[in-house]
Amino acid sequence: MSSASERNDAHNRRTVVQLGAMMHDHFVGCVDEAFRSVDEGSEITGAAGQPVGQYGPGYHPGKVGGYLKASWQKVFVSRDSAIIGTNTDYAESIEDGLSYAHGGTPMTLRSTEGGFHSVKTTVAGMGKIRDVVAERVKREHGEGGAR
Amino acid sequence: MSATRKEIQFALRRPLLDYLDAQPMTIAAAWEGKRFPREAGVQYVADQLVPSGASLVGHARIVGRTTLDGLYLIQWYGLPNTGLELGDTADEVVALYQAGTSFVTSEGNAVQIKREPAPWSGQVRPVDGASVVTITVPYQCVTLVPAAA
Repeated sequence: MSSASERNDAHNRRTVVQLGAMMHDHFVGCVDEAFRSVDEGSEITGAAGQPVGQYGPGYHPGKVGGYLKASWQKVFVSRDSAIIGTNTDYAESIEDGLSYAHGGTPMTLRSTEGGFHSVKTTVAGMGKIRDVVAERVKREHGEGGAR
Repeated sequence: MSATRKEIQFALRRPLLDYLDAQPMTIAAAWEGKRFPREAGVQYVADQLVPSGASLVGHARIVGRTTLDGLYLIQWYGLPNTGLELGDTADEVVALYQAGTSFVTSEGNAVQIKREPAPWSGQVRPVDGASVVTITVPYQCVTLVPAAA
């Protein structure tokens, strides 16, 4: 029969392990949501996502884009760090809505989905992402987490 | 009634207008939605409001609050080949929007500059005939919502 002290020790060990798992799930969930926000758009952050879809009249009508959207990558470089990025050269132009290749002139959005400023909007909305993912992780691990 | 985007944008633009007025040289403003043919030797400033979401705090049948989040973007077209000058200008513009500062709109609503993240300026990008920098100001506007009938 275990003593109260031993039961406390076992409980503390379980708590530490479960909290570690919850923190890891929270981090991975935040990266996933941030990537979705930048690439697909998000109802959490309000980001539009990368432009894609059929172009309208006057600009390759009927042609479907998607090169930039498909180029965004999410890479976990360690247990607690990740990179979301793209090497597409016009990604910064799409982000800022300015054509850096044409004197920085404002761009016209011609795609049926997505828009500009998705990275900035995601960065500004990371607090909301953290809150939403934290609630999700709490539900998945049982309300209140470790017991 | 919830704040309108024009009301929010005008409140956030006011410190920028005061800053432009205080400059010794002419800086042309190219406000949102209007095309601007750039002239050589003239700096331009453009702004945009990028709303990014709204949430109701409290119940619609009692007095609640609506929070409107978004970004106020300032894009400054400086003169070419002026070294670090545009970076200094960007820092001065960011300083106009201290994190936590509130601006009152024409309708009496408060627009607060967010702390997390606080405003920041991006890289100065050389382009044909100019250098461009984007300054990002995250904001939150809180308005009281009267009880629904």
